[in-house]
Amino acid sequence: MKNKAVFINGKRKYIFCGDEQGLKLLSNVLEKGKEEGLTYDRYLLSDLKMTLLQDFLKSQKMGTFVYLAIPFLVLQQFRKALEDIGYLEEDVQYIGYGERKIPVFCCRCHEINMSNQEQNRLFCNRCSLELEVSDHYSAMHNAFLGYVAKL
Amino acid sequence: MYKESTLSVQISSIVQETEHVKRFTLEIAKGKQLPRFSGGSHISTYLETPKGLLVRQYSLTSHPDDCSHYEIAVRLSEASKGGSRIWHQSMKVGDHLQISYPKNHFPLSFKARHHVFYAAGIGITPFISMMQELRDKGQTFELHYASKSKQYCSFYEFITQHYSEQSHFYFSEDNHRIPTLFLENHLVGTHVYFCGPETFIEHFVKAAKDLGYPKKSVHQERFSPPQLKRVKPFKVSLKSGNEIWVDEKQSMLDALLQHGLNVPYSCKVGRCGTCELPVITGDIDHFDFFLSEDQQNAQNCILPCVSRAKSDKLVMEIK
Ligand code: FES
Ligand SMILES: [Zn+2]
Repeated sequence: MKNKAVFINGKRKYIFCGDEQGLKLLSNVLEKGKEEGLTYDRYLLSDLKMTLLQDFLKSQKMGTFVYLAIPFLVLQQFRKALEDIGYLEEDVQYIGYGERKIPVFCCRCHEINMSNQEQNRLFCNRCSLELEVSDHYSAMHNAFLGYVAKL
Repeated sequence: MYKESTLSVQISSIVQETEHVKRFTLEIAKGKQLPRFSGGSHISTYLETPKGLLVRQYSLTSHPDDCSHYEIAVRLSEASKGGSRIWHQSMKVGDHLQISYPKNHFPLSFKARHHVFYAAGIGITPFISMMQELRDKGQTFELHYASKSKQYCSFYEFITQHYSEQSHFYFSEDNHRIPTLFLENHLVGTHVYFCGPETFIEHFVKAAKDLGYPKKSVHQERFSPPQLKRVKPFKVSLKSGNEIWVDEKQSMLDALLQHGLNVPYSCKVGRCGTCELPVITGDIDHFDFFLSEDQQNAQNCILPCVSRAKSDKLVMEIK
């Protein structure tokens, strides 16, 4: 995960994807792509929902490179979806912005806690249970599941 | 005498598959089981000859889950230094030999959403077990298989019987070739696998690279060492102070072995990494498919089965 997009050469097609703020962060690589006359698509992710984008990304051919610029808050969830489609780490640049916090769902009291990306343990704000942040993102709760840290 | 632990097997049947290819079934002593293997695996076979042991690698073409026997398919190569010739002319039903445990340098990617196999000639062999594994796992795949003609096409019947929906044949006799253009049509998440002659593999690997395929989605299996465009003799100097001369016609590994050095090795085509040796100084010309670019650029280790020196001398960390 980077905060700045770096241009990658030699792909048959490029997809520049992000919300409004995100696309701004991609302007340098997008300009570069235009200059070089490369094939590309610009995709505005207005509602930060994965479904439409998912179909679009699924229909792409091998050799496609994706720049995805969205808030850190939802980055993890998108990354997971892209990996499920079959995009490798080498096929995508994930650019995050905003607060580096992720939502963590407390398994006991169902509170949603905001946690730093880097930390994988925290105490629930409401019930004080020590939680371990899993990499399971729950689409229902819009948060990562937090499990009891000490079992 | 053997560099690794081996299994003792007996040839239980020999089938003439095509004019140049024979299939051999290998069985272990009654009541025993052979180890299971993963799709794409191969074994080393040890052939005893008056000149010593000949080690040759062959893909396993039997079912990965069938522990009652193994099968290999051997193509008689005109350039054979003895391996395929012995298999074709001397090996009989009932003969015993030693084989290695199955090894896999050409495994299926578990990240792939779809697998596409490109085979030419005897390069079909690793795909036979890979297709079986994928079928069992319920994953999708397709095969593009180039051969001279139907008559020379190994496993033609087997494939049409079991995988007719997934398979496409291209016979050069009918002027059909596999176009590299196919690579343009694979959806994201596809992994491609190439096996066949050097030129075939190189052609497809390059086409994939030009399209922007990430390296990790492109898999290749080689049966022969790469053909080197530049070969020159060089010297290897050892810790003991001894120097070994490597001439144009031999690999560095062979030169070291000839001088009695105990260098472990397995594939001899720069795929497995077994023969890796540390280098102190000297410019290395890497020809392997094992080390990463960074490792190659570091210039501090060499796979002597295929790689050589650019400089006149390599100083090695070995006695
Ligand atoms: S023996 Fe396998 S890489 Fe050299
Ligand atoms: Zn709680």
